[in-house]
Amino acid sequence: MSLRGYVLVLLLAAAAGFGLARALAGTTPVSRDLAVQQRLMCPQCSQTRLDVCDRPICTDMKADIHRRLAAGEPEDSIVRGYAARYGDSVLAQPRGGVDVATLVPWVLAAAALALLISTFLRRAPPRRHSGAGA
Amino acid sequence: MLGIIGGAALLTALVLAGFAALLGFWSGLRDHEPAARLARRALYAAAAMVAFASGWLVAALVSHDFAIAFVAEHTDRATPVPLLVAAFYSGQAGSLLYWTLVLTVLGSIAIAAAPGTSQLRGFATGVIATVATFFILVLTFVANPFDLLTTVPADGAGLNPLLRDGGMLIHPPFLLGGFSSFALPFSFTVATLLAGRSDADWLAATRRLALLSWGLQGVGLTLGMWWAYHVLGWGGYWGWDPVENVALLPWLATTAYIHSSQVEERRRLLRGWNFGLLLLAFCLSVFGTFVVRSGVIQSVHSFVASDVGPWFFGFLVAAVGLSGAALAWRSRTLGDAARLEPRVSREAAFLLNNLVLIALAAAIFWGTVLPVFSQLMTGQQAVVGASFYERVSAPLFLALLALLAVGPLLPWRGGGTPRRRLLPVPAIAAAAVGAGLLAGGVTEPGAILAFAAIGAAVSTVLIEYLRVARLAAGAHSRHLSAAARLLVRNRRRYGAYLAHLGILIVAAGIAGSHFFQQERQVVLRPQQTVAVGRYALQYTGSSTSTTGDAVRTTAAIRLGDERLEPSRTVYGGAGGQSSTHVAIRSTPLEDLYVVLASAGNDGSATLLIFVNPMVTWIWVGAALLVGGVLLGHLKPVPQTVPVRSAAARKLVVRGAE
Repeated sequence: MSLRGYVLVLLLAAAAGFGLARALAGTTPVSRDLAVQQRLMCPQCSQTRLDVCDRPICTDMKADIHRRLAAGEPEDSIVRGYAARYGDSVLAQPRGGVDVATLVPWVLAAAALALLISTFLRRAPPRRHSGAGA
Repeated sequence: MLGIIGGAALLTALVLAGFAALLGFWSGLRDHEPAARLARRALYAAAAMVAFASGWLVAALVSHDFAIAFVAEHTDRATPVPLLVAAFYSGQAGSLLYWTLVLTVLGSIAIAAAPGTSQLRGFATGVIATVATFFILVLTFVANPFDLLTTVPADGAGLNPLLRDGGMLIHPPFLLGGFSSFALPFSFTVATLLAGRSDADWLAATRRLALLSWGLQGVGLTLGMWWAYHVLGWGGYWGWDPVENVALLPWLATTAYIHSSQVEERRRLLRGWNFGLLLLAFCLSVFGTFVVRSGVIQSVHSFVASDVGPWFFGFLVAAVGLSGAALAWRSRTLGDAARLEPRVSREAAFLLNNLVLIALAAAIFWGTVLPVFSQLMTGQQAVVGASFYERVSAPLFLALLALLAVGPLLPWRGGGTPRRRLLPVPAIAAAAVGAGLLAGGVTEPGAILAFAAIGAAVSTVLIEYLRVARLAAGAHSRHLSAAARLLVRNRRRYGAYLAHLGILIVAAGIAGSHFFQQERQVVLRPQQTVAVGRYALQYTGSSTSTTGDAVRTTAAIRLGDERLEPSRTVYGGAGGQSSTHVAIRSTPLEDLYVVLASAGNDGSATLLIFVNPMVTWIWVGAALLVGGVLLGHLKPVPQTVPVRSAAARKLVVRGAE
C-alpha cells in the first residue's frame, strides 16, 4: 500500500473515532439516587438491577435509599448496609480485590495455555545441525 | 378424546424411534444396507408420528380442549389464536415435544440427504434415533403434553403474562430448534468415530449441518435479545441470565468449529480437535436443556420446575461419557497428517481464535454453574452477576477482535505473500480511532480499546473487498465479469468477511450501548417535562383500560410532534403479575426507550427513560453475520469456473490467493 493509502486510512479512522465520540457524548448527569440503585441488585429476582426492578421490595429499597441520602449518609455506607443485610449477591459489582469466582477461570486458562505451549514446543521439528557430528 | 389419540401417537413414535435406533446401530456394525434403509424408514415414520402428535396438540390448544392438562394450564378462552399456537412451546411438555419434532424432522432430512456409505448413515440414524427415543420416552412417561384432567375446568389458567407477546411467535421456535439441531452434526461425528473412518469426508457430512444449527441458534439468540429488549423493560438486551448463557455455549463451540474446520481442510490439522468441538457442542446443548428444564439454577426463564431434571442429568452424563469414550477409542485414527509449525500463520491465528472462544465458553460455563457448585462445596449458594461476566469476557472479546484484524492478513504456513505487507493498516486504523475518540472527549479506557479494535478489524475487512474492487477496476470491462466470478467462486471467503463485518457491527452496537447508555428515573405530574440526552419529554397524563382480567395503564408522553405511549398491564388472573410495554423510538444512532414503572393515584407517573446508543446496529449486524456465513456455505462451491481469457483467469487466481 502506498503512503497515500496509509494517510487515507489514518484520516478516515480518526474522523470515524472523533465523529463517534461527538455523537455518543452523554449529557444526562446520573442522580445520586440512581447511582446507588445501579450498584445494587434486586434481592428477589435473578440478575435484575435494583433501578429497573419494580417489585415491592425494590420500591421500598429505592425509597429507603432516597431517605438515607437526604439524611446525609454516604453512598458507600448505604451499599455496605444492604450487602450486610442480603449478602454479597445484592451487589451489582463485586467487592474490590481479587475474588475466587473471577480468579478460577483465569487460572484454568493459564494452565491450558501453558499445556498448549509445552505441547507446541515439544512437537516442533528438531533443528538441523550442520556437520557430521552424529 | 384428542388427548388419547395424541398419547397413542407418541407411544407409536417411541416404538418406531427405538426400533430405528437398534436397527441403525446393527446395520452400521454389519454394514448392512437393507437394514440401514429399514432403520431410516423407521426414523421417518417416527418423525411423522411426532409431527402428527404436534399437530394434534395445536388442534387441542386452538379448540380449547381443557380436558388436557397442558391446554388448561397454558391457555384460556381469551387467548388470541396466534398465541394459542405459540402456547405449544410455552410450557415444559410442549417445548419438549417441539424439540423432538425439530430433531426428528431435520434428522430425517439430514439422513435422507447425507452423502457417505450405508455404514455411516446407519450409525448416524442410530444416534439420531437414540436421542429421539430419549425425548419421546420423557414425553411419554414424565412430561406428557396429553395428560388428562379428572375434572374439566370451564376455562384455562391463561398464558404467562411475559409470554403474551408477538415475539413469542418467532423467538422460541428458533432457539429450541437450534438447541435440538446440534444433535445432527453430533450424529455424523459419532457415526464417523464408530465406523472408524479416517478420511476427510466427515467434514463434508458435518459442516453444513453444523452451519444449520449455528444459524438457527444465532437467529434464536438475536431474536431472544430483541424480545428481552422490547418486552422485559429493563433497558438492555442481554442480562447474563443462566438460560441466556447456556444458549450461547453450544453456539460458541460451533463457531470455533466453523473456523478450525478450515485448518483441517487446508492443512489436515486439528482433526481430533474438530471432532471434540462438535461432540462438545451437543453436550453443551444437552446441558442447556437440562438447566432450562430442571430449574436447577434460578433463572427468569425457568417458568416451571419439574421432575424431568434427573432424566436430563442422566442423559447429560451418558452423552458426555459416551462421546468422550468414542473419541478416546478412535484417538489413534485422528492424528494429523502434518504438523503445526511454530510460526505466525493463518492456522496459528485460527488455533488462537479457537482457544479464546473455548476460554470464553469455559468462563461463562463456570459463572453459570457456580451457584450449584458452591452449594455442593460450601453449603452456601454463590451467585455471580453481570460484572463477573463482563470482567472475564471483556479481555477475551478484545482478543477476538484483534484476531479478526490480524488473522485474515496472515498467510497459510507462515509463507510470504503481498497481503502480509498490509499488517500495519489495522494498527494504524486502531491508533487513529483511539486518538479520534480521545480528541472527541471519550476517556473510558474500555470504550477506547473496544472501538480501536473494531476499527482495526473493519479496516482488514475493507482491505479484502477493496482488493476485489481494485482488481476489477484495473481490468478491462470484460474482466468485471471475472471479478464477479471471483466473488462467487470464493464466496466462502467473501461470505466470511461479510460475517466478520456483521460481528464487528454487533460489537460496535454492544460497545456503544454499554459504555454510552444514559438513564434517568423520574416521577412526573401531568404537563411536567424532563430532559434526557438530547430529548425533552413532556408527560401529558395516563389512562386505564380493562380487557378480561388485564388492567392496562398507559402513559402519554409528548416528544416534539410525536407521541410515546409506554404502558403496564396487571393480570389479576395471574396473581397480579404484570408486564411492561416499552415505548421505543429508534434511529440508526440511538434508541429512546421509555418504561412506565408505575402510575400514582394522583395522576403522576414514574418513568424509566434510557437513551441506548447504537442498539439498532446489533440487529443489523447479526443479520449480516448469519447471512454472510450461510450465503458462503450452504451451496457447494463449484470446483471449476469457466473463464475465457487468460487475463481474466489470472484475475480469478489472484483473488483466491
